[in-house]
Amino acid sequence: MKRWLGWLLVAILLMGLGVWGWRFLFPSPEKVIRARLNRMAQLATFAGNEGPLAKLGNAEELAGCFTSDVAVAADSPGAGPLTLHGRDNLLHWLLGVRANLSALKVEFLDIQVTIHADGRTALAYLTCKAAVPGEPDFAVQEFNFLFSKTGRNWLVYKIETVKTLSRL
Amino acid sequence: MGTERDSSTSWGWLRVVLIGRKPRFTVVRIVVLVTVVFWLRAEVILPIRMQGVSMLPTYPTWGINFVNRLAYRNSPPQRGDVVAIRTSGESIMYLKRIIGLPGETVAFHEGRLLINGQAWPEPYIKNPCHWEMPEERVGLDEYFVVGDNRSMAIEDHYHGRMPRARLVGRIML
Repeated sequence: MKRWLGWLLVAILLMGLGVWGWRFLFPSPEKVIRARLNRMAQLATFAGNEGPLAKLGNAEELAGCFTSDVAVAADSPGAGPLTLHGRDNLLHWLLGVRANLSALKVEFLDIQVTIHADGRTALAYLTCKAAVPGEPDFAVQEFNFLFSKTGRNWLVYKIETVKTLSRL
Repeated sequence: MGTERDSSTSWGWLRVVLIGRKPRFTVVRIVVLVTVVFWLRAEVILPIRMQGVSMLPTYPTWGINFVNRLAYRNSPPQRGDVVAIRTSGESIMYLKRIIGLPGETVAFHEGRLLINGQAWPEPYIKNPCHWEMPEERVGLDEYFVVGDNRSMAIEDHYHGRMPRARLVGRIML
């Protein structure tokens, strides 16, 4: 009886390890997209002492999370409208932000990921919080990040603003 | 022997303080307490840390408050209520005052609030302003919200219509 119980425990443990290993090696699209968004927030964040090479490297890696024909249409309160087309323009804008601000902390909060029926596109609805360290106020804006699967990568092909409060 | 008894007595005292005289009941109490706290937070009262200038001077730039999630379970939101408005979740919420109810029109003229074309008193406003906003109709499942800080330029002040579904609850304090 004891031996049988021991084998059962080993079998359960092995099954658990197998499931964990499978999920680790083959994560779900939702998990991949969440990880990508967290990495994007990390790359968008920069400190005052960021060197020029790191500045360029991080901005380029961040731009690499987007498709070459990405379309950005953002309209945040206080920041005004922003429309960008293409990865190159986006990279140029990202470098401009890094040049003009002393530091920035970006967080993507309350991320809701929906994988579309085709399995090749997805929507991430999230709240972006951006703050300049040391300043009392911060910017908040909801966004829809639309992803498409290009090869094995999930890349953002569109960013659009979600208005919390609407106006005519 | 005396030393042993002393140390066992002090351990006994510590044990009573840490896990009580009846450890089983202490565990039950902790489980019940944690469950109740989580349930209260999820369903009844949500503690929040306020930050920002939009609701000055009614609410300071920094402060602690609570959201009553049950406030609108049996009665609809009223004009003048200060409410918490969700974004894609509840990590960050907007704190605003309801000024327009479903179906009404809202406008500002020379800083005065006009509801359905009639001037509406706002006793909570401490800073007079000269806001101008053309008439806007509030949808049937919407509320018009704005902050109390009218010393800001209207262009810099985030305000507008929000669907009822975004309403988390009423501010308690």
